[in-house]
Amino acid sequence: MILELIVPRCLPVAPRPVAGELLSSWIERIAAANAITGAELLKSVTDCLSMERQHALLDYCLAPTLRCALAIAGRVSDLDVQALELGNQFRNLQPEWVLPGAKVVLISVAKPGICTECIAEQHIAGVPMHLRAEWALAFLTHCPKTLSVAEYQLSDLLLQRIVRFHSSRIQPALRQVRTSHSTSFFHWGLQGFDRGGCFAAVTDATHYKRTSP
Amino acid sequence: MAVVLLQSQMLRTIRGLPPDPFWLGAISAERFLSTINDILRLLTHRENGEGSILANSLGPCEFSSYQPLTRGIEHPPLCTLPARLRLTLMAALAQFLLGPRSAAYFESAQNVRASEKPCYPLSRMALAPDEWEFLETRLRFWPFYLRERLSAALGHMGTRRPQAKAARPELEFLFLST
Repeated sequence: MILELIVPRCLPVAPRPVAGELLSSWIERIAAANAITGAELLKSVTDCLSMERQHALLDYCLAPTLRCALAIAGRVSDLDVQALELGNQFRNLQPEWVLPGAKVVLISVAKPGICTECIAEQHIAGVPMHLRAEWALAFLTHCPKTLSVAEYQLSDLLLQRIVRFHSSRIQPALRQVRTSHSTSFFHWGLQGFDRGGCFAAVTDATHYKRTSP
Repeated sequence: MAVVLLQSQMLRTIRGLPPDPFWLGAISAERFLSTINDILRLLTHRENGEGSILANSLGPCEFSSYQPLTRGIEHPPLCTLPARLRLTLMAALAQFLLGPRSAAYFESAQNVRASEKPCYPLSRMALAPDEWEFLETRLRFWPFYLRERLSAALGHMGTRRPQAKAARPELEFLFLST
């Protein structure tokens, strides 16, 4: 597949993880910010590493090689990625208590419950919209923060909207670069680094920062 | 409310914090979770891997839900259950832990006769022989509060231990529909 060849090892746009975020949520945000899907990002990483995909527990605990590859792709340290793993966030958590949608690797989106009130709060506070780690716990039927049950439900539609929101902030810039340089996404990424520009972009609800060293 | 409280306690304990003594007395987070895990295993049991889980018939009526599950799995893991059934399970777990105190939290537990209260909710229905066996085997590992309450219940109910388990509501429904 062509896409596997053009996803760079180190992604040009790297939103930072938020404390208490679900690992797959961060992966989705990175992928969306780079105009690819989470599944494509993971597929490229796991194919590069020749890993057995079925045995990897994405949100609960990552294989060290996969963790390292994701840290390189997201331009964060291994420890930052490790801190997002559910096994580290909840030290007494058992793997059977993690929702399967959030456990199986190579899925486009995790499917934990989503509290729309919390998402709205994140949006208002200017925090990047993300899925909280607690939402992947199977024994929680209510959002532990807002205690709402009505909005706390499986919502692929809402998740797609969030991903689209993150994508929409980067895609105009990406299109502009694509047309001006008449080059591929991969080359755009490389050019970014060649110029010495570090695209530590944070795609969040209110702004999109581009910093250069 | 009890379901939400229990969930917040479970969230607390998986973070390594000690649970509220209200539920199982003053015990460690690890022991609390190990007991919860045992009870969840009991409540998710399906006889011969068919029908609904035990929580559906043992838990509070207002939370019961009948959702089809894959056949042949005797103990479906918590994470594979649909959201509505997980709520049923958590309600049944809360009721199991509360025992006679359930009346203050669950509407369906308010009309329990005084004679049934000490064994509640086990007095509501007969357990299958393997469920009894599981309960008896695991009981000695459970906290004192629960052990004391259930030992009394088991001793009382042991005298009328069932030969065969009463058909669960969803099975009756299936028989009628076929």
